Amino acid sequence: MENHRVVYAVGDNIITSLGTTTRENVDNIQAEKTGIKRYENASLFPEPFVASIIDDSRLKTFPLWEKLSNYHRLEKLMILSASDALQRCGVDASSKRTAFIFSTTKGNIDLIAKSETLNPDAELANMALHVSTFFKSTNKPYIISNACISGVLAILLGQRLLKSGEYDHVVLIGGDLTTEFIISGFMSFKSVSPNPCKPYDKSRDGLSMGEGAATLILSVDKSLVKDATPIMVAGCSSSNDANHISGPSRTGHELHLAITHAMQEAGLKASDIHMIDMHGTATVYNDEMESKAVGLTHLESSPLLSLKGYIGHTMGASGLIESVVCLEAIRRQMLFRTLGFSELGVPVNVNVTTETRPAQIKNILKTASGFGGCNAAVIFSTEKSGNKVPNDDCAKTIKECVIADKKVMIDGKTVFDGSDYQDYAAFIRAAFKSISEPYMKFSKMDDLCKLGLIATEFLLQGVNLHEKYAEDEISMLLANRYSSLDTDITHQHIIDDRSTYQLSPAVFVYTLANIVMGEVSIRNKFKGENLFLIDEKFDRKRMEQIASLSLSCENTKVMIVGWVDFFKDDYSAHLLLVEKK
Amino acid sequence: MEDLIKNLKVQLIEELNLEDVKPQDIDTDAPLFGDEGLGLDSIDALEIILLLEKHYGLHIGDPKEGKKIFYSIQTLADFISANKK
Repeated sequence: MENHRVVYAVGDNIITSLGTTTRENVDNIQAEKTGIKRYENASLFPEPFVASIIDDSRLKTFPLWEKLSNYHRLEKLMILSASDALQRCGVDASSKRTAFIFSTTKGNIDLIAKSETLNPDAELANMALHVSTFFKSTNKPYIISNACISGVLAILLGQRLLKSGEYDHVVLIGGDLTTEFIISGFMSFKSVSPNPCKPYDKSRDGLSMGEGAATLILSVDKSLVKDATPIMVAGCSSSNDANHISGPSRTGHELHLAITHAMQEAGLKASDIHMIDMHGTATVYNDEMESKAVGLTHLESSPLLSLKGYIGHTMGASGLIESVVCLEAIRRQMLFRTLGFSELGVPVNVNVTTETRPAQIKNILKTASGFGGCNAAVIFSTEKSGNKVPNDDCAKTIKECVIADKKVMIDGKTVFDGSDYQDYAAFIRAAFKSISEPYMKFSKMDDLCKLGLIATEFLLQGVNLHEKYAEDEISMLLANRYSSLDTDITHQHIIDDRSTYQLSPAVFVYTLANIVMGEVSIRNKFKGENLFLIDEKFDRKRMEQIASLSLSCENTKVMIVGWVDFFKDDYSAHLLLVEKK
Repeated sequence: MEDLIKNLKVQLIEELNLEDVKPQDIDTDAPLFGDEGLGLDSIDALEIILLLEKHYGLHIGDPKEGKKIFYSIQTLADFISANKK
């Protein structure tokens, strides 16, 4: 095929409680060892808990460690992981043809604890710059913060940037820590198991938290491939449930859509999938939903596993860590047991692995699902390279909405002037009432979500997308600078005050920036792709380029693209309604 | 009991951020969850658990226990008056 660029996996690393290299991690997984332990550490949580946490003394074996004293802990993990992966594959990190893509949910969130002013290093863009500058990268990094599917989305974005010819190599780095912030938040949701998690099991009762970093280097240069049989990224897609911001879909239909689109791109049918590595968090509803999605895709007989019993749920890193384990499964031709599973406890009869054994594996499906109702799927294959040729110049903006300084503007014309309202809260409520019938969910949202929702309401006034497009053809691509830091600080104040410690799930659920896409999707029944990026400012050119990559894929026909940022008194929204040229 | 029901409605509106709802809008016997009534969801259920701890010192360990108790304002009030020390 003309212009058909093939994306190869050329280098990787994993750092978790189970080891500091891919090999050490997967040797331990193959030996069925878990890194999940019981901790009594009041600085992380007042009561004992189980989690998979990295022992930092192990990191000192890296010769590089001594040079990293000026970096924050997560940045150290990311640098160590990326340097190991880069050394192994010989990609030039400083080349103009190499891009860095980061995936994290919370970055250096430990820096906001007990702090009056915002440490700029808590901004994800600064974290990413610290790491990419260490490697002398000359390109502005891409930063994905899209809840627990961030790692799989890093692969999706990397694959498309390579296929479109934008770059020749991408260094994907994922990382998240088990901080007091994260532990208390999941505890408030009562979704943490008191024991090591049991994915898909009848007696499963919640997730185990984990931390880690991983690097996956992708390239179109086949000469860099070290594997005897090259492994290719053959397909990827994402979707939104449009159902609930924290609870998964009741039907599994939307994860099924993401899987189907990824398989279509790869040119594979259900019987070609030799292994499925799912999110498998071991919460009651997540695993139930996943089994339904597997059933809808007719993948019941494919061996299915979850790695959460080995390393816990590593959040924004999980998609990358677990994908690298998938690559090892292909290299070793080994299926791994789903640790913690013994008796099936999900409604669809899926084929959960119960032993670690040799198997013929050519095509692997990896999925992830997360808060905000987002789902993502990627296919790794030794047979197929994927047929898509993404185009980075096919987006056409047909309408714009800007919200700033208490004004709402459509295509440059003020349509709502709220100058008379004394503050943001009053302005945004009035703006909403001016355009919409009462909506119960609105008053429960945080300020970022209210801003995004209202900007979308104005953008879509007089436009009925559902007349022209199916639910899963409508995709979203948003970015901002401050992620969810405004609400993060609210959650942090709650946990800093140990005398009351009134953990609130209604606050914690908004400590992810992509929730705004979840709220918009629920309100408008948008089930297409989701991608939330962090940037220093609204980089319209870059956003339209990335939107083009989605629009040139089969399933996306129209997109809401833009900027939604809120921090303290600073806010701005700039949304574009984008169609295919 | 009447005072308890009145207070509960006010607390529910405040803790769940039901800005546009007034206490008199809440039907004491109507379902709180699902598509009818207030249309509360799973996050609200967790917040009601917190509300019971904060205002009444009552603990519900397993959210599943809450299903019957949280059916309506009336069932919540019954639970509180039966268990309050």
